[in-house]
Amino acid sequence: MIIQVRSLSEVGISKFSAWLDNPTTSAPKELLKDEMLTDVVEGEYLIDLSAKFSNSFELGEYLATQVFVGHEDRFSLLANHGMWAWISLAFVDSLMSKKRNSGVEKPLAKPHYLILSPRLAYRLVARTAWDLVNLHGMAAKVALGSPRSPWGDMAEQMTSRQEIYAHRSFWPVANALYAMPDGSVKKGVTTQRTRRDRLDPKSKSGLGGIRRLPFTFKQFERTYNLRQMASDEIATLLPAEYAKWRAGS
Amino acid sequence: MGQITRTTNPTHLRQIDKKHFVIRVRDDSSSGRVFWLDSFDYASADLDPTVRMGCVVHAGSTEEYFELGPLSALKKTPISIRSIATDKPLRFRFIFNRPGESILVGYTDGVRALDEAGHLGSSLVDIEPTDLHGIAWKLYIPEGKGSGEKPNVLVERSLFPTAASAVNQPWFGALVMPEVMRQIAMAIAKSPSDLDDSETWISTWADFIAALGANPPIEFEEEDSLAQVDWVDDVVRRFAAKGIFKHHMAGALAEMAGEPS
Repeated sequence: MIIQVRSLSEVGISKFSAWLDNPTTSAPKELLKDEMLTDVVEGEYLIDLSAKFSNSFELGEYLATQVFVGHEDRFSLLANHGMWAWISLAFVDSLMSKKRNSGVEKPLAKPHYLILSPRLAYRLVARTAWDLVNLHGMAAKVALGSPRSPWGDMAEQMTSRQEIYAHRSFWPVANALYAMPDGSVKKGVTTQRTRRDRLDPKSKSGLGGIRRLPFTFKQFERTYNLRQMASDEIATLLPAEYAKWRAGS
Repeated sequence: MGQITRTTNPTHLRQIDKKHFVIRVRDDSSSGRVFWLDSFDYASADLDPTVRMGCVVHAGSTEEYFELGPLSALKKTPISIRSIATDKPLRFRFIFNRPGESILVGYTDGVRALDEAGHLGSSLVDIEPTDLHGIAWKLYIPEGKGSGEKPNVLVERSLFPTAASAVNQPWFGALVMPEVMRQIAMAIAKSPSDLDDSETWISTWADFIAALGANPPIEFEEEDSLAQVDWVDDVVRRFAAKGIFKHHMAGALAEMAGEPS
C-alpha cells in the first residue's frame, strides 16, 4: 500500500517505544495511519508500506532512490525524529535481528528505531541507511549488507567514527578490501585485536580489519592526498597487514 | 637508521601558517551556504606556483573535499557547502601536492573563515553565528587539548547574524559572556598544569587570567570541587568587573528602564 510519509507524534513515539520494551505482541502498525498520532511530512513523499527488505542497504537504497527523490535539504530530513520513528515502525519486520537456528526474530536495541540522544542517532538503522546510500552509493553496502542483522558490527564500526562517516575516499577502500563479489563481507573482518594478540608477535588476529582501517587511513591522510587517489591505488599503499584482504576472498 | 622523534620530519611535510589564508563564507539564497578563497599568499608561504591545493571543509561529522587548482591560478569563485552541518564549528583543512603526485608537500589545519565584517578576531574565544534550532547560544569547548583549538561560542544566526552583532549586544555581554567565562575557567581548573604547557589551548589563557588579577589555579585535589568553584567564582567576578561588561550591564539596565539606546 502506497501512502504519504508521516511522522509519529510524541505520544505515538511513546507507544512504539513501549512496544519495543515488551515486544510480545505484533508491532503496533495501527499507529501508522492514526490521524491523532501522526502528521503528514511536508514534501509529498510516497512510500510503499508493503515493501520488504532483506538487509539495511536495500532499505536505504529504496528510501534514497524511490522515496526521498531529489530532496536537497538533508539536514531537515535527518532532524525529523518523528518521521524516522514512523519509518522504523513501518518497516520494523525488516529491521529485526534474525536468530540463525531458532528463526525467532526480535527487535534490536531501541536506538536502532528511535532517536533517544544525538550521540546515538547514527544507530537509527533506516535514517543512517538512507544517509549512507546518499553519501556513498553502492560503497555503503559493505556496512549495511548483512543478511543476518540489520545492524551488524560492520555498520557499527563504520558509522560510529565521525571522521570517516562522510569520508568519500574511505568507503570505496573499505568496500574494495572487505566486500565479497556477492556483496557479503569477508570472514574475520570485524575481529578485534585483543591485548593478548598485541603482545604476541606471531599473532595476526584482527590485523588489517575494519577496526584498524580508520586509524591507518587517518595516518596516511597526513602525508597523502587520498581524496584524489583511486580506491585500488589507496589499497595498494596500505601496509602489509592489509595484504590478505586485498587478495583474499 | 636514526630514531624518529617528535621533532624529526622524515616525510619533509611542511605545516603552512594559517595567516596566509583569507577565507570567506556567505549564505547565498540560491546555493545555500558558500565559501570562497579570498586570497592565499603562496609566495610568503614559500610554495612553488605549480603546486596544487585541495581543501577539506568539515563541521561535525559532515565534510566535503574540493580541488582548488594550481597556486598560480587558484579557483576563487564561491563553492556551495550546502551539505556541511551548520550547527557545528566550520573549519578548513588545506593540503598541497605537486602535479601528478599524491604525496603531500604541505598542509594547514583548522583554518576559519573571516566573519562578515572581515575580522577573524584575535580573541581567546571565537563567536560564530550558526543555526541552533531554538537555542540562543552554546559554548563548544575543544575536546582535544591542542594549541590550534579554541573555545567557540555558537550563536543563533537569526538572533546574531554576525559575531560583531553579538559582541555589541548589551544582553549578550551581561548574560552570556560571564557564563562562557565560567565554563572555560572550570575547564582550566580541572587541568591547571596545562596553563604551562604551550602545546595546549589552555596555555593561551595564562596571561588573561594573570591580567584579571586572579591567582593562578593550584592543582586542586580531585575531590575538592568547592575549591575549584571558589577559584572559578573569583575569575568570573573579576571578568564581569571589566569595563566593557560594566558598560553592557549599564546598557541592559537602561533598556529595561525604557531609556533610548
